[in-house]
Amino acid sequence: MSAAPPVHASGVAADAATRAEAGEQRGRARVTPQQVTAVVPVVLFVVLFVVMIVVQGTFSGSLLQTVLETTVPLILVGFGQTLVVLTGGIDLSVGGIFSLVTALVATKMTHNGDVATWLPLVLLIGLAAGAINGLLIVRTKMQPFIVTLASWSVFSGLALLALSTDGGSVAPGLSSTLSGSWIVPKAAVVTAVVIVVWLVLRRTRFGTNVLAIGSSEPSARLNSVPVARTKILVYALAGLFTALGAVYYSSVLTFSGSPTAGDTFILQSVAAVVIGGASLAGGRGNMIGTILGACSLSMIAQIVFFAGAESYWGQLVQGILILAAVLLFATVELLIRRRNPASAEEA
Amino acid sequence: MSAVPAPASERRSRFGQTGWRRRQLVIAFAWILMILLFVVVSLFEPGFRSNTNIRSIVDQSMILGIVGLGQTLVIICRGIDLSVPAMMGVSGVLLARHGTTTGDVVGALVLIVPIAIALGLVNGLSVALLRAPAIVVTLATNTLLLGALLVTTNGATSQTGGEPAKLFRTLSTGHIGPISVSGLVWIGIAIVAVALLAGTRFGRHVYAIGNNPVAARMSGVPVIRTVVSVYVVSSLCAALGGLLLAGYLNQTFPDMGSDYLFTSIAVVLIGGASILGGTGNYLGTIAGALTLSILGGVLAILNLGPAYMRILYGVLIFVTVGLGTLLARRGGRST
Amino acid sequence: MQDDSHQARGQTDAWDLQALEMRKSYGKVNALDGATLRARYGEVHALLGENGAGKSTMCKIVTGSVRPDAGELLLDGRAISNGSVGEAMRHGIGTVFQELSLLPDLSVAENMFIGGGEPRGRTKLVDRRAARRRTDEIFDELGIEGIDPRSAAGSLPLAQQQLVEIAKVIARKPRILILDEATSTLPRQDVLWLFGIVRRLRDEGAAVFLISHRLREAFELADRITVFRNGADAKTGTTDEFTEATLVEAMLGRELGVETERRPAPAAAEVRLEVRELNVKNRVRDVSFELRRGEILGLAGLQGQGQTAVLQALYGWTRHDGEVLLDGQPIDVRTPRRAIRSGVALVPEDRRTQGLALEMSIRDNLTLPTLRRQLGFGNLISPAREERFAEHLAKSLNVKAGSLEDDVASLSGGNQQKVLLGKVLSLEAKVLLFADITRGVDVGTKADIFALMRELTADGTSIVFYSSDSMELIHMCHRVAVMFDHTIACVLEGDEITERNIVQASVSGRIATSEEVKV
Repeated sequence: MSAAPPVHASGVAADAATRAEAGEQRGRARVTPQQVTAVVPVVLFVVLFVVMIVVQGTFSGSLLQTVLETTVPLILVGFGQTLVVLTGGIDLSVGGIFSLVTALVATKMTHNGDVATWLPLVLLIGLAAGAINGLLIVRTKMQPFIVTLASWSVFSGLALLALSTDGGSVAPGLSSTLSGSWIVPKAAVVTAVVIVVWLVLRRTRFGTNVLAIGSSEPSARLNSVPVARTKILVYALAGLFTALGAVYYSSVLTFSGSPTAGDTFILQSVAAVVIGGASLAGGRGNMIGTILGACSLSMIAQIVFFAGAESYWGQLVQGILILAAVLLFATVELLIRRRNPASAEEA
Repeated sequence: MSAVPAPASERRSRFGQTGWRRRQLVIAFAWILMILLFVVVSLFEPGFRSNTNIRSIVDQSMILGIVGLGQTLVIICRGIDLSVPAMMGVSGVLLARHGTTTGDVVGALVLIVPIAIALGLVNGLSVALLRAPAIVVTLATNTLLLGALLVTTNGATSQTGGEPAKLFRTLSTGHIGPISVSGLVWIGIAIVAVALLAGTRFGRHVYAIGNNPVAARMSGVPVIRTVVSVYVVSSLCAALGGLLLAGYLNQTFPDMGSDYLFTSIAVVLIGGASILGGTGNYLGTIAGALTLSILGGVLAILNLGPAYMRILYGVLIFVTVGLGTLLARRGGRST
Repeated sequence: MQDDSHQARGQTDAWDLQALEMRKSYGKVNALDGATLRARYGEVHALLGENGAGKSTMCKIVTGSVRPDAGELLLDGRAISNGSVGEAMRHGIGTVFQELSLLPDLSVAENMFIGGGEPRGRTKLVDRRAARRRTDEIFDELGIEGIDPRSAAGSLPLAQQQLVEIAKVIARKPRILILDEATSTLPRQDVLWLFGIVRRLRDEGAAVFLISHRLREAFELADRITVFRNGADAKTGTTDEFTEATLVEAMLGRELGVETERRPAPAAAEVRLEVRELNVKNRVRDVSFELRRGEILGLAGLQGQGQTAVLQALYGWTRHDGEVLLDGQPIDVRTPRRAIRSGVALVPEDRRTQGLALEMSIRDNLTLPTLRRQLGFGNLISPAREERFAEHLAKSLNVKAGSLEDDVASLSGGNQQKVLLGKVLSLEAKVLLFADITRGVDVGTKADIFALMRELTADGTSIVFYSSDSMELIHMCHRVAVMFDHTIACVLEGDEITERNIVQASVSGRIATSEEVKV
């Protein structure tokens, strides 16, 4: 056992100026992209919530509950999308899986259908569909965008086979169980569960691996991260949570099915993730942001509704909001990169 | 930097092709697939090769081919344009509105062209200048523009009528003797597009940016200007597509372009372009557009609904992109 | 060609790690062609060789990131299979990679434990506070200062990232440590620090492999040296069996004809480029210099003192303040496009990411910056004119290619470098900026590049030549500006240009006899 090494290393020891600069930067409280992306969704949520109270004229605890209730499907789909985006991918097939599961719920889980068999089965179908995406991405080395674009087409075709037009009905038993009054508001329960699952994931090896892959896939490989296995699992989970969202959607919100219900969730889920501050390049983002982003999107629709305007005003405002958010984040990132060019460009 | 250099022999595919030939092969494959499909179907269903049917295939694919031209340019530049459907809806609806009130094509274009240019500028500047992800930017502008259109029209469907409809109806469905007008228009546009990509500075810049944006900038390529132009061209193509679609359908509604979100990307991918940018060719996109229309015709003959169409589209993308990936990997690059 | 007869086969039992008769080919290229490597615990073993000699591939096999086509890997006398980096890790093999393997968006603490061993709480979940504490302890133990375990790894300066990388591997107490060009981004002081740690590990019984381009580091640290050539081990022995000359000879397989003739500085020539008070935020401070017609000005200094940034600024690649004059007239170099138009051109450091469009043809690459000159009818490129131009360039630079239609990716590294040079030279710039373009280039191409530089200066072109190899600067430059602390500390001329002076100025900012720079 020998003593400590003779010299100390700081990486910048050789020049005092850089060290001084580093100190100066620390003193000036540098703004990181992470901080901006953490604050924006919170501010947005609060502002929209206040606007909603003003528009509706009253405040009650049930207001938040109403918001959550309509947002739960998007939160669930957004959970899967967040995981996928964190790995640096994108999942367009959530639209197809959502439609397929909705169609199955409305045709197989009717009042004379076998709910006990079909409920686990549709969840399994979601899981399997996602796993197929993951397998194709990992095995064929095709881009996630292409694989999920094609599988969206296939899954939504299957949805049309199961249910050719809007309609069908959900078993009253299932609907009343899920939508009946619980002791604790069920939307809050689902949201809380999603948050807990996220917090636990974040502190497991799997969670770190997800972030590692999105941060830099080659480096992750060099650090013996099981890239293929993690990715397949991520897409499978995305499929499962999309299926959960679809079950909730059709049995609590619409009581019927639509073979094209999922298509709006593609844009909505990606938008929720982006407004929530995740980077589409991967490695950065979190579930809380996505939940706030999802709530913000559905609050816009509700504000428009309460204000008595036609629903397409909501679409206009959502478009403006998404564009503003993505441009804001891009600008912040650009400014920070410009302010501190050393780390980014010399590499 | 002491990695093993990869000399020529390693990069050659099993067929001995270098990258250039490999890319030609992928495009040739798209054409072979399309022609094969046509021939096989014609054998079973002689009516399929009738002049009328061929004309209707060309009519349908021309609109897709024109929208796909913009998408081809954007994808070669490492981007994606998902704002195509809204632009098509805007141009179609505005054409109809203007047509019914004043019967003035020029009056409609005076509105449509600036909107298309503005959309392209917003998309292009966001992507090129602010480096925002193209997927989200164009999805957002799509939502925004569609929302604005719905707000201004109260979501109404309107019939086209009067002068403008006739012009675009002729352009999209008319025929001179046995030759379809749309085919002639498309051939004209295709010649310009192929020449633009293969034979001009602009085209070379587009490929260079898609291939390596840093190297392109270092070589003095005007990156931002080129990328912005590409998005503007894409919006203009979508606007033209919307006008022709209005003529083809003889009616307009805000959502009329929604199918083109998927199909405009599909034809580019089937045509052999890589979503990673840098490769692709308009000839491939033409083959892709024709393939999709023929496939639609086949499903109509077999009396199969849109469900099968969607499934087949998906499978087709898997097969063609998968094949391209396979070729590329033999050639040393993963797509 | 089998070349391992120099090692007695009966001796095998005396070695702790053996990689025997390794073969690995990529396509038709044999990266390793029956190479053998043997090492003992308690020894530092340097692997030297030209680029593509096979030393890196050999290391990657030992590390588990590359699977050999044939060959046997023995650890402690037993055959092991290294299917993955993780498996190698379990065998106690740790590698500090040449390309950083840090995950930029994860915190330093998370990076320290990415491969495993993170502290866990009672719930089996990762205990982040403990992970941070443990990271601090490891840094303390190794003598690393001033790195916050909570900060994102990607936000640290490059040299600090390298330190984290080193700490991460050493914290796992590897029995076999591989340093794959780990020193290339470190300032000299940190290199010495690393060597201290390596010596300690060696004394505690670890086997250490050192891959470095700097011969000096091998002599400083290694107990044993193996020289690789053409995918096989060419020569191996203890360090004292080698001299610098015999090492170079072994690497090249022939004797090196040393050419030290240097032409006198063209002092009489008129000033071509004048740079006044160039500043780049955080990277360059008040740099001013003059460059004469036909002159080669060297840029020396430790890594990261702003050499690259000066060149990038002059080419409009980074935002900067200051005045740049060409032939006495102020010029606009705010973007590469404007720099080119003003008569300044840069050959970038990394041809693959900055220089070439690899999936485009050789012709397309060669003519990309000069397309305006290839135009025929209207705005259309004239294929004939372009072909002639490209062929002329390729011939004059001696690019070896089957057809100019082939992708640049199909060329060897040296030929790619020539295409890059040809592309930049075709701009016929008055001032050329060379950013460490000889790093990672084989000796033959290097000689070609040097000859070309001489030719260019004879025709009146002026060159700013940044190189991380001071011998090259001594060999090529009329004057050498040494950068220290993000500015030019002193300019060496004539007989002052010696390795000793360059190194001294690099670490201290001055030499005994130096004249201070004119500001």
